[in-house]
Amino acid sequence: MTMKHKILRGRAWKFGDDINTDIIIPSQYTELEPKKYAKHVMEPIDPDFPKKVREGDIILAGKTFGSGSSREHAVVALKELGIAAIIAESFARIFFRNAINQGLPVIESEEAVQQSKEGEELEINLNTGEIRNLSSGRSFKGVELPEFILDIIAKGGAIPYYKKV
Amino acid sequence: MGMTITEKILAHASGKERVFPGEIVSCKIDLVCIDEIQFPIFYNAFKEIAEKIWDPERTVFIVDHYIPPCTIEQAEANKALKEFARKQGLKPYIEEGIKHQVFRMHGLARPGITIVGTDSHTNTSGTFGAFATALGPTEAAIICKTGEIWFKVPETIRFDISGKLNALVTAKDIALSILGKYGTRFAQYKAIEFGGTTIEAMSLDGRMALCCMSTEMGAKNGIIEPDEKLTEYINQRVSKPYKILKSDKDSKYYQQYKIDASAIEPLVATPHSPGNVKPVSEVEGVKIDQAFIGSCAGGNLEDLEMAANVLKGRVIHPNVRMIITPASNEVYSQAEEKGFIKTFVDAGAKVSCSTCSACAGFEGVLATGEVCLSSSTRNFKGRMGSPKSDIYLASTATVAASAIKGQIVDPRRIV
Repeated sequence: MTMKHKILRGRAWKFGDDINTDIIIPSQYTELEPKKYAKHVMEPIDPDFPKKVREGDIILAGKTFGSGSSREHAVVALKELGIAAIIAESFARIFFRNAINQGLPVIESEEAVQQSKEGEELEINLNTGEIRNLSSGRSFKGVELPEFILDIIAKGGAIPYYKKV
Repeated sequence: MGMTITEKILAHASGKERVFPGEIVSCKIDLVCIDEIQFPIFYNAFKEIAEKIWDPERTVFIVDHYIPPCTIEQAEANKALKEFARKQGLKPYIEEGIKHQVFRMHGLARPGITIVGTDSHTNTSGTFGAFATALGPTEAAIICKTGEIWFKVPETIRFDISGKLNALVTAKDIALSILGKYGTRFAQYKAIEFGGTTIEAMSLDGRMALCCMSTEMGAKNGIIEPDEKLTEYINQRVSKPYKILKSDKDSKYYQQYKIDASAIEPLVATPHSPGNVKPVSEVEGVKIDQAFIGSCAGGNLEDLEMAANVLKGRVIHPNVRMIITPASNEVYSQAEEKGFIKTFVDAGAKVSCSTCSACAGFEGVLATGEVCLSSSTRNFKGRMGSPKSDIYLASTATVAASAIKGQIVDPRRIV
């Protein structure tokens, strides 16, 4: 197998169900520049989140992560903070597409979310769909994505992908 | 085996005889819409891949959130979008109301076509027999270059709604009833098709509210098969090509539900999810600081008419700020002609210009601890301002009645 995707390794931040885009990036900040609005990520539920998070961290979330508004700012802001991937029990469809189009890996895996805790080290291999919890030693399988979607993520998003095909 | 209307439209748009749920298809897009919120991300993507919009006839740029702008940043976003649209030679549907209502006003939403917008409530246009769904500005940029985008063909959930709605019970109550029973996730990645005698009897305004709320059910699209009521609209408004498609009798549905509309009572969604639904009797007495009538799910002429009927000759409670936002300039003007605007102003309401308004927190912002009862789309935490404020959702009848009382009330007690 070709290794299109580099192995991602990062610390987990855990969220519950229905984390909607009004939580990820409240509407009053959408008019700002990405660097500015990224300072308000998750503000309604955890105003300190942008300060705590560091480059390469991974979000674990429950059901329908990213529901609500189609604002792509939600993905741009998470990337701006350095979030490397999101593993959720399920994603809301518009957020899911937006993440792919911005080249942010999104993986569905109920067991990885339910059996991992905040602060644990996770490793994601998008080439195989395998998620490893390095802290607990457990391995999980993510829901497989179609090849072309993996290609879009590997190229860093829909625009770089589009420019190359 | 037959196909549902959603499958037929996607088959047509992808140049195939038929499509199957789960199949990924590349579809030609008949209408794409980009708004000012998403424009900066759109523009960053578009300038990387193209100079000219592929088809100005199929493209709408709109300003429908930051109207009038309240900050310099909003003004800059509006200006950037307008300059781009002008340079591209696009028709200026810029500040005429909420995009879904603007599509209707100009006959752009029509049967059998594919509509995508950078707005989660693009589902609203399923009212007109179109496949209408939301996506982000990066994909909108790709469509503006290529005219196409991929979709996974959704399975369809069919709701057959029959029976006559009770007085002061509306399409919004039907939507809340579905959300209360089945939650906000049941239609994830699915199409929802609404039909039955209640829908046949329902105005286009009511249908828009219902299709709009399919977004809150998680649906990819909400849709209603074209009928005579829709033909009347087509004959008056639509000059662009369209195609009347309906679901085959032997279509395969993922799930089918029956709803008795005559059994539905006024309902309220409590904080912080449109799925936290209770009968109005269980939340009566909750004091409100703001009452909002507006949005793509609650600001059409029928909504304003219902509000006017409730408010006529009455006065809004002194503790309540009431904002009424006609969903489009056309609705505003019709409401003016019918005397509704005077009724609102005389009752003490503030009538604002046609925009998304308080629904998305762009005016009528809530302070800590404040409570709003709203006819809008969703009541997520902090959506209207402070994360420590509360939003309740209800029909326009319930919102108007509660505005008079200063607390949530069953509209049937007031009227």
